[in-house]
Amino acid sequence: MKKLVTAALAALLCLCMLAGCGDKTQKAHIYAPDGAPAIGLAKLMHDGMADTQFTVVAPNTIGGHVLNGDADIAIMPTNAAALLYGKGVDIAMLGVTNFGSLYLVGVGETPDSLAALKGQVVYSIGQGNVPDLVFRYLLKSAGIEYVLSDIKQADKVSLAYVSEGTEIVGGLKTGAMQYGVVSEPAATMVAKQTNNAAQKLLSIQTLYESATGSTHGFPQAALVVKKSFLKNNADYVKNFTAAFKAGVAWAESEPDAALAAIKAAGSTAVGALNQSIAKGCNLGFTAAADCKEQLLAFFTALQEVAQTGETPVGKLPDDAFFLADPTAE
Amino acid sequence: MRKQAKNIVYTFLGAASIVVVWWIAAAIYDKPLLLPTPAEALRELGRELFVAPRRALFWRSFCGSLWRSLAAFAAAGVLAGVFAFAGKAFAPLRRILAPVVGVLRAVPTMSVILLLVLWAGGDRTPLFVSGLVIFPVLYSGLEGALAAVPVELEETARLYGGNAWHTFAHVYLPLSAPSFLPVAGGAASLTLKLTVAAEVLAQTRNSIGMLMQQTRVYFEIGRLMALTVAVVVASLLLELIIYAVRKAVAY
Repeated sequence: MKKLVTAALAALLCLCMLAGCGDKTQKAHIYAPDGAPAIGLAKLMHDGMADTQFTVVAPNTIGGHVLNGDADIAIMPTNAAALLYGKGVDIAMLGVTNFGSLYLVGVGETPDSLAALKGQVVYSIGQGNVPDLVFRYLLKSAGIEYVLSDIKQADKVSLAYVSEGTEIVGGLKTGAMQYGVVSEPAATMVAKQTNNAAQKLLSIQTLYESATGSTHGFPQAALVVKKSFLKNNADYVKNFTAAFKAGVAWAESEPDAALAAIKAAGSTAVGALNQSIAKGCNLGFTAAADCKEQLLAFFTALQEVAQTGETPVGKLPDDAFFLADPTAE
Repeated sequence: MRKQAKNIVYTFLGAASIVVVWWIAAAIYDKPLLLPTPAEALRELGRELFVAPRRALFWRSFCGSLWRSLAAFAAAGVLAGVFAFAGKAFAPLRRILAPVVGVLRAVPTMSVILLLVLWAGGDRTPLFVSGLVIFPVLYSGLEGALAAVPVELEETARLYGGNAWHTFAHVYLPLSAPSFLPVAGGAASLTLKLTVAAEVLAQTRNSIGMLMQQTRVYFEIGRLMALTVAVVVASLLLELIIYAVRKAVAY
């Protein structure tokens, strides 16, 4: 009897060990920078997805997470994705998720055009970052001379820089700054944070459309996927993309739930979220292959205004970088 | 001479060991985009120093950072000297300064930078930050060096009818220099590092800090390593200059 019980227990133990074998799907790691891009993933974060971990990180670290292979799928600035691809990182672009969420904020009346900013100082976050380069491109397209300086200069727009968006808010509140280029949701929060001393003035993406003839802003951020992950998990990527497309605008109808979802995933920079802010983030999805020309034109525009030492794109990516819509297959 | 030759060999071995460890780490990690080899960093340094158009930007930025750190060091040194010698002559002043210097030493550098960026702007912030952080170091070093001057020598100087300037030039200055100058050497190199760190946060134009920030934005880790090597070499040269002054005034 004792031998029978021992044999039965041993068999049970073996069966328990075998339960660990078989088709064990590895977790997919999805990364997004805090702010507008993370809001696009809110529905997926809220509903959850099998074998998936969502992480929201500080915007200036998203490139590092893609570079060192932490992220299987990530949302990142389109130019940074092209730059990493050009350096040999194993990624490709699934599709554009954010068509511009930048706004000129400032004190006083809304300027009629960018020419009204001559003789003023406009602050943005980080010299050489996309907000800075896009704004320089708009000034150049409008024939307005600009200079990198924090001193007002007659007939020119002075461009100065800070390292954090909170510095622009603080500057506008104290009167040390008059204008800044910031992204949603910060752009809408400026009025509340400065006690209505400053507000959202101009839409950078609308100005970009006027300057370039683009019909839908500029491709600011995109979903990128590790090519080795795509090769081994094509069905997962297809399902993920379909779910993302279906839920990318969810935050406009359920802003409170969306805010809770992204905070649970690690967001700290989005203080508030409502329908207007979610709409202002300009979220959506267009497969990379379908907007390849728009992307290349955007990269070329950034390179046109880059100064010595600034390489916003590097080599223009080849066709292999721009993936077709996996849900269309 | 034999001792000097030995010292040179030991210094070279120390530097070589750093390079070897770096090389091994890069080989093991095997991700050249994240941890380039010393050879790649050296190649990038060569491009920064000698190849147009980056060399103009590098030298302009390097001179800007060096000027800011030297100006901060000189300003902090002059203030430290004035207050230390005045405190030596007038004890109540030294006691009033003690808590002030203590607070300056304890204030987190980050809060100073974030406040100064709003008040002083990006270009002047690194200068003020470095000066504020280095002043307590130089003041304490000089105060300690002056306190170590034997009181008998001060009395002798007074006995022989020397005025305050005579006592300063022939007693305090030469006797405090040997113990103060090593502190000054370390402070000079620290000033450069603080200046570069503040430049990154303050987005200072024409600065090594801004170049380092750009390498982070554009994933140019090799270039970042090259700029780091340039700052390390500059820091060591500053310490070497102060060492040479120390040797020149030694008795």
